[in-house]
Amino acid sequence: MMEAIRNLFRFDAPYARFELKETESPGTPSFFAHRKEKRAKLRRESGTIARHLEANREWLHTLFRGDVNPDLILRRFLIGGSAPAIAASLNGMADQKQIADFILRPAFSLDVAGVSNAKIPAYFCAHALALYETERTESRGKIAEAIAEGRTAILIDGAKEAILCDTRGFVSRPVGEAKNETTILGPREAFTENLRTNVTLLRRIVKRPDFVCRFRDSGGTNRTKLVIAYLDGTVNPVLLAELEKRLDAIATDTRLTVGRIEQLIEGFTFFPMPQMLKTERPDRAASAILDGRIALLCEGCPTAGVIPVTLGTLMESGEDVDARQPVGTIMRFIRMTGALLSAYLPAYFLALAQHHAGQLSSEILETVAASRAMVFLPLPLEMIFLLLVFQLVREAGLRVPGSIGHAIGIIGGLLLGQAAVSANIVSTVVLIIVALTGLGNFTIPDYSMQVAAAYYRIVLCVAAAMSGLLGIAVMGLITTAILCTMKSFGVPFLAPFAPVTKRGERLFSREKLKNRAGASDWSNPLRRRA
Amino acid sequence: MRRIRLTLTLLVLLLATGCVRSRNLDEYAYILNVGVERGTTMPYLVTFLVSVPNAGTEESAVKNVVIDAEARTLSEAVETLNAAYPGRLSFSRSSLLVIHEDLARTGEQTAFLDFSFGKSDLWQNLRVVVSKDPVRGVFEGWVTETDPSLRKIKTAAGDLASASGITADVGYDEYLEAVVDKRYDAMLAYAGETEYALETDLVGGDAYPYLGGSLLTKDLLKTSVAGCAVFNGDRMVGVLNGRHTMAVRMVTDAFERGELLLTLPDGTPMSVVLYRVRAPKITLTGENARVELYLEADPVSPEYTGMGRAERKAFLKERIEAELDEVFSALQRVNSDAMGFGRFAAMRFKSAEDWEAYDWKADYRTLSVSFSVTVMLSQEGTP
Amino acid sequence: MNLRIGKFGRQEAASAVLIATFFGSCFGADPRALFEHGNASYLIQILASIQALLLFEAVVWALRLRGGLDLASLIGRSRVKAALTVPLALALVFAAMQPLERFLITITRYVFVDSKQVTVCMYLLPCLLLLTALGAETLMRTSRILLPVLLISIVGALLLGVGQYRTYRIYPIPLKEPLRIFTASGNFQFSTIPPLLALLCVGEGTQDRMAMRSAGRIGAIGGGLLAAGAYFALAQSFTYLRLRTMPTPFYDMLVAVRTVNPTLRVDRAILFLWLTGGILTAAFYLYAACVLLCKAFGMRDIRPAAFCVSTITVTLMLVLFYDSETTDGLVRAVSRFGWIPLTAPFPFLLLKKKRRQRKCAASV
Repeated sequence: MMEAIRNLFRFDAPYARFELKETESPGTPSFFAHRKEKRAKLRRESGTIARHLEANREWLHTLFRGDVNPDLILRRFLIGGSAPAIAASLNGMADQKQIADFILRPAFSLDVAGVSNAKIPAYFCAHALALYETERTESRGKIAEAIAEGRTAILIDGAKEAILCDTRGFVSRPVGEAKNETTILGPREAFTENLRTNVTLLRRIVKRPDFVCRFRDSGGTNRTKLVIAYLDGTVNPVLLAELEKRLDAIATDTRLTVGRIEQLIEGFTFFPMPQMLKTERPDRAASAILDGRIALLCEGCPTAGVIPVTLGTLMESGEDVDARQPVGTIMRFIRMTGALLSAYLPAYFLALAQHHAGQLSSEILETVAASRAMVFLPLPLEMIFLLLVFQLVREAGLRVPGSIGHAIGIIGGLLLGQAAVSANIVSTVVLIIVALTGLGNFTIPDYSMQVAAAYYRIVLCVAAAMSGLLGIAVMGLITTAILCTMKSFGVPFLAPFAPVTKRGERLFSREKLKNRAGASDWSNPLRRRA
Repeated sequence: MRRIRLTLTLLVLLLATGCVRSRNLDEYAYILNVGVERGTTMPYLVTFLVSVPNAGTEESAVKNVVIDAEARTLSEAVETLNAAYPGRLSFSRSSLLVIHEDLARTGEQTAFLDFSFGKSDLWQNLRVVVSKDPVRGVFEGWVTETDPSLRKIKTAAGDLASASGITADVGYDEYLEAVVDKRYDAMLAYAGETEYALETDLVGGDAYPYLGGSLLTKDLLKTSVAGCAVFNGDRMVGVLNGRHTMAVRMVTDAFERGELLLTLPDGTPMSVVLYRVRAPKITLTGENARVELYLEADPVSPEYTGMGRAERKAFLKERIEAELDEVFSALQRVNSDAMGFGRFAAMRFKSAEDWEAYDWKADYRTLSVSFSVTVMLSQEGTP
Repeated sequence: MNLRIGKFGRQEAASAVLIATFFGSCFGADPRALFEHGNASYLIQILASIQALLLFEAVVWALRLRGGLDLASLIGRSRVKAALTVPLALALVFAAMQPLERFLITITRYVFVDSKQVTVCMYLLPCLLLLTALGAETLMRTSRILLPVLLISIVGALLLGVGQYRTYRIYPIPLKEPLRIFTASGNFQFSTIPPLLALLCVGEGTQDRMAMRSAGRIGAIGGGLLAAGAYFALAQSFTYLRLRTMPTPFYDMLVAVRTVNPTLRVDRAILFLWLTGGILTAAFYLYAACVLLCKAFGMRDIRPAAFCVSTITVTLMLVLFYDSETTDGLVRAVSRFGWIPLTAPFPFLLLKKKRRQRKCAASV
């Protein structure tokens, strides 16, 4: 106890917090840096392959970040026992059985005596390769693209061309539909519990050679398998290093899921706002990755965690990007209004009714007064009681499986509300306010944000009951200040609005999709939008 | 962790300081109208029209309540009534203040109002009305079988002012400005409930006097608001009927639309609807003022072919100018600058001290005003 | 050393200066003094903003000569110089009190009529404490986030009242004695200098001197124009004789708005929105005072200073409020002549700089 009090009044402890600063990007920022990087990429991916197998292997290893990307399989074998070759493919994307049966097995038994190495590709295609779709190419770009798609590239020593075989075969376990983050227009598939499947789901969307899925173990005794998925050369390496550092520091014996990992590695544990975007949709995670952020996958957990997050990303749904700009803007505006209503409406009503009745019109005032005539609970208690009941119905609906859950929601809402009004426990006006609040709450796309808003609303109600609009203003200011201080993995939570970044994004409306080239700049990625 | 503790401490501090006092909104009794008149044992008799939930609706037979108490100040009256009325009286929805004519004629309301608006939740901008009858009667005249929502009554008075121009729509703020600033004199709406008591207004004349309480109706609300009470400083000095109120409002730029009944040279009555075209141009030089008014006229009846377009315009111009002259002379007689020429007198000064030292009212007595009305005919008379 | 200055951009800094200039000017000035000789408040506001801006440019120029980024680097760290910062910090504390006190009067007079000032203050204190302790970065970012909301509320409130504006109310324009307007603008600098001074105190957090200068310019010009516009609207809403008697003219202006059908009044909501602007302004000044003191006396943490300064400010405000008869003179004196300690150190510093340059030249 004494220690806690002493700690409270100590001023000497350092509290330096990780911050992702612009200056922490490697290299000197310059006007032409972006162009230089582009040229280097072009060099890596253009041109033709070398004759020497080792050079080609080295090239593929570098291109697919073989050091950190265990997905890349470079299988060495000898064609006809004499010609060294490599079959390059991506684990999970290519069907291993097809490679073994239709590439490796015929290769071992092929007789290539008298055929020069330079002619082996054509010979191999004609005499041994038992696959329907094959292609011979010299182009590095084509080869890289094919491997990323799940095809297998056979590179032969001394040959100037490679064979691309269609061995695309994804996992057999059916991928289910997203249950919690449903959309009308967007894709439907969801992550599963299998880490390999999840990586494949991501790879099917992000078909870039610089997409890295780095496997690693979590800390602690259980050593759960994790995958850190990101675009190498786009994501800020300092952010990546910080994530690794925080993951290294995990020392727990509990079973790890993305939700638990978030709690173990986040910076601000007290505030209810989430600091990691948890999504069950591969397309949402993939969009974040393409935007220069990092996705974290965990064995046995059908959710991906995306870092860093901001208020804007938490309020964004795939839907409003899929819809056309004007419609998307309307949807986003309605969603933001719903979110604001959900947080502030009960408190505002309470403040007006309790402290500033003059601000309500005579009609509303009389209606509220008449509806409350026989209600025995004081208004603030009535409001808070009803908000808690709403949460109760919601929780109950969530925990009960399937259609019973829906039934509980409806029955709870309708019957309980009606009964409470008849029993004079609550008034109709308050019931309507709480119902509106609930509706507004469901417009928030992120579940963690919904929960955060639900509890913040109760705190606001207490403040409003105590001191009306003064309480709301003070609480609102304190919350805004804390949100402005908060950072998710070094990125200010309210970026790109405070601080403003060069390429400001919008919260209430949606920008044109044409302007969305490159990654957003608030996470300080290396390759930003112009 | 340190930040959490800090935040928690601040929250505890906030919660521990105690709440700002509050009550449930259904524990209040909302005063809709406030009225003040001379008391018998105490200086003032304060009357309130208190809202009763569901009053005036079809399914309920309850009516709003009128209560009163004698007191020296508004707060004293409230305290007295709080002791006897279920529910705490609240001014948060009050929007009408009624001053009895007797009080207004002596200027005794000033002390009462100064006290009342000092520290109370009385809205600074409630509408002010002078009544010629006892306030209780005026309030009860509104609480009848045809009792609509009280707010609607209050807005109706304002709508009447803007739609017909026959009454004034003045808030307490404006009244106070007139009293404190002395640039112009106040002109408050005039209400009454005694039936058919014709009064002669400042100007006189035999026209139908649109005056509060004197309207020739039988079946509607007993209390009516029409015409205006004219002030000199904080003292009421006379009454103007609806038509003359309209004339004053034309000069003060408060006029929007109004109907004028005129008699043509051959004795035929003609009704003209007048609209404001643009703000009047007033120039004040020395002891002379010139007022240029721009009106659009729409003669709605009757079918009259005895005059051409130009003659009609000239006739209307002449009649309106004559009426304005009459009203101005009547106002000048009682030394009331309800037309607000003093507002333009202030523009000549470059220092507040000089303006404060200047006595506008002394010059007003000898002010001569020439009215020039430009009439635009919107259409020929339609049957 | 963690004074929590952090890093902030030009937009954030300009927002903070703009908010502080507007709320300091519109809610900091004493209406009795401002409208004593008629209403030229909008002219005074513009003049005062220009004067403050000139002073700011001079200090930035001095900083450029010296190569520093903030006021502390200009003042230095010797004892005498440190002592210089005390009146500056005190003036900032007084400047922070001005808008808060005006809001306190409004709230206790019109909103919570039955409540005591101390109760309302207890709601302001945690906010001030937290904002001051969280530092410049948070303050600036919060300002940036709240600026659009505040701007909408200010412009909206001014537009709502358009129907009530009457040109005759601005007369008589007191142009007879221009010197009086000039003197009044000098007094008014107690509202226009502190935002720029506070920015200079936390200049270390800006990207460079140019960013600071531009943020100061944008904030001061924007805030000054907005405040002048608001004062002009006020002049058309009430005559100076009435303004003199109003404790909080801008709230009265909000209340005076009359719609035919007042279904839902919003004056209280706007008032409390403005209160957040007032708190932000006060917190900005208090934080700047804390930084100034911490740097001058070599303290390594902002929090003790933040706690002390915020608590002292609120206590002082209450003392002045409760004992208004005896302290009234003091408040009036400070709000009239407070700009003297605000500006006094600068000519001295500039002179000193010149002398040093001359010495350097002589030694060369």
